[in-house]
Amino acid sequence: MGRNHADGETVKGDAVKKGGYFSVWDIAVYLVLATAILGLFVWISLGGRNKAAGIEITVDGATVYTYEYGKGGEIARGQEECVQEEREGDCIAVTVCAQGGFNEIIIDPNEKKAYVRDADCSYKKDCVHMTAITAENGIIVCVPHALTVRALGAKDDLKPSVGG
Amino acid sequence: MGYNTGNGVFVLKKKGFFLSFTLSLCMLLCGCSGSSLCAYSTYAYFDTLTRWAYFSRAADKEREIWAQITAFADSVEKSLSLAQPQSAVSRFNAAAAGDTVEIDKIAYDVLKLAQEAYAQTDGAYNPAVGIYIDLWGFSPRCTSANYRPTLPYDRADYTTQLPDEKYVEAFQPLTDFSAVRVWEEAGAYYVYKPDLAVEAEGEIFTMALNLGGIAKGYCADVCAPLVRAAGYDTGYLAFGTSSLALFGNALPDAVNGDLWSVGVRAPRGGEHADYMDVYLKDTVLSSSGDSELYYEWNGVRYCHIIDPQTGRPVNGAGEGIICATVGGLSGAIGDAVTTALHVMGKDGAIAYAREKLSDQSVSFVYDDGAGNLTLYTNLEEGAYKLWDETMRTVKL
Repeated sequence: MGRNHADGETVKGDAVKKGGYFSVWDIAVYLVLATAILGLFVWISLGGRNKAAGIEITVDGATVYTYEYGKGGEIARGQEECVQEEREGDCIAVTVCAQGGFNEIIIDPNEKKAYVRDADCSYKKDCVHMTAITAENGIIVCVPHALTVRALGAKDDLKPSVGG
Repeated sequence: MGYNTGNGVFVLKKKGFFLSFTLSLCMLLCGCSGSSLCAYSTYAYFDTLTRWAYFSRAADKEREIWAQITAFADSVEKSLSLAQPQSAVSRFNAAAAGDTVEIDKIAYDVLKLAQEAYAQTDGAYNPAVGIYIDLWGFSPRCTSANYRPTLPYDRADYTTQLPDEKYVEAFQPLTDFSAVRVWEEAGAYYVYKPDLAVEAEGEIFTMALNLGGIAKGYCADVCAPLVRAAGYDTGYLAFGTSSLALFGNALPDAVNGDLWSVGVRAPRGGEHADYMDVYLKDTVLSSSGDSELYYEWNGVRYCHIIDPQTGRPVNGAGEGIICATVGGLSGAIGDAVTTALHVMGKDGAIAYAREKLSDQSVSFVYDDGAGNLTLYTNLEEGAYKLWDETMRTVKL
């Protein structure tokens, strides 16, 4: 790494020392490195690997059915008696029996949306009136049946809240 | 390596600086993303969400803590739920007027708290409106998918048929909660059911209690110390949307270092799901609102919060307090007080907040009947963020 001059100084060592810790090229390398690390951090934090790609149905926290757009639906093992899946034209009708009642969920793979069409949870049937899930963070909850319908891969929103 | 010692040392120092810079940046960012919030959640109790959110340290210990929380929630439900025929409250409601009913410790504790809240709010919080809650169709019996009319005042469809006025008037004497007696004797617990009865359509009706407005807060009061005692002083415990026990916040986006940003749901919807965020930690936040359980008929909203003086849902004229939030009381009393604020009406709630809640945080939203909403709050600026820009703000 360099050759000794007769006076003991090396060409490379002199060049490095002359540039100091922050030569122009050093700063450029630091900036590129910092940008790469920060970019990777932001991508991981935003869950870049976890884009929603379907629908997940859970009963009391346990997954009973998943539907992946472009691939199809799957009834969770052990839930075959509680979940029925039927094709209705271009849509999929999933009937889930929970807490002694039922919820009927419609999944539209073309529109990439899902909603609760019918349920016998209460006279209000709040779940039937909730907005259809289209975005990766959409969620429909049927409290009496402890049933949730959410975008596949969506994380629970853990921000604390009251009221409503 | 062929370097002069001085230059060689310099080059090594420079490479060392470069390496240190890279590692420091990586470690700094790892520190930023290392605190992630975990949660146990269930819908198994109180027909709503029960959640413990925490920063994980030991999975086995957390599993054990969650088991304790759910076991207690289960006990409270078995003791107080009207959906359970053998609960203490169900047995009280089914008992004859003048009877003494043996109850469990949980029912005893909660009834004592209910008496305290009843006294503190001068009766605005009154758990003896159970018969009105049933009359107007908000009891578990009426909201069940299996509901069938069985009582003389039952209607086929609660949302399109209002109760007969004669029952609204007749049941008034049955709401005298001051006549209820609760005591302990030789290690057992008892409640005296007042000797109050009315007859209507050939049926005898007696007092009925509904402790749903206080049970979840009571759970928060018991479970929060349990979590802290186990060494978890960050995170939160939620029992439904009415009772939230907050510890510290270790998330990197915590407000002012360790405060939670708590969303308060917009009572009438709108662009934002929440009408405001409040910044808190190490306290219990209680909330009630007329949007929790209601139906609308002929443009009038009928909600589950009953005015004990009239036997009717509050805000029947469209005007009134539509949601209330209090922080700093116990969960049980906070639950009761937020309900009571609706009953007190705007002027009564303002006076009560100024006189009795000056050491707590209190906020309530008032609807003037024309859809104009005003936030009354004693929170200082900076302690909250208002999302609904159409809402006027008045400092309490």
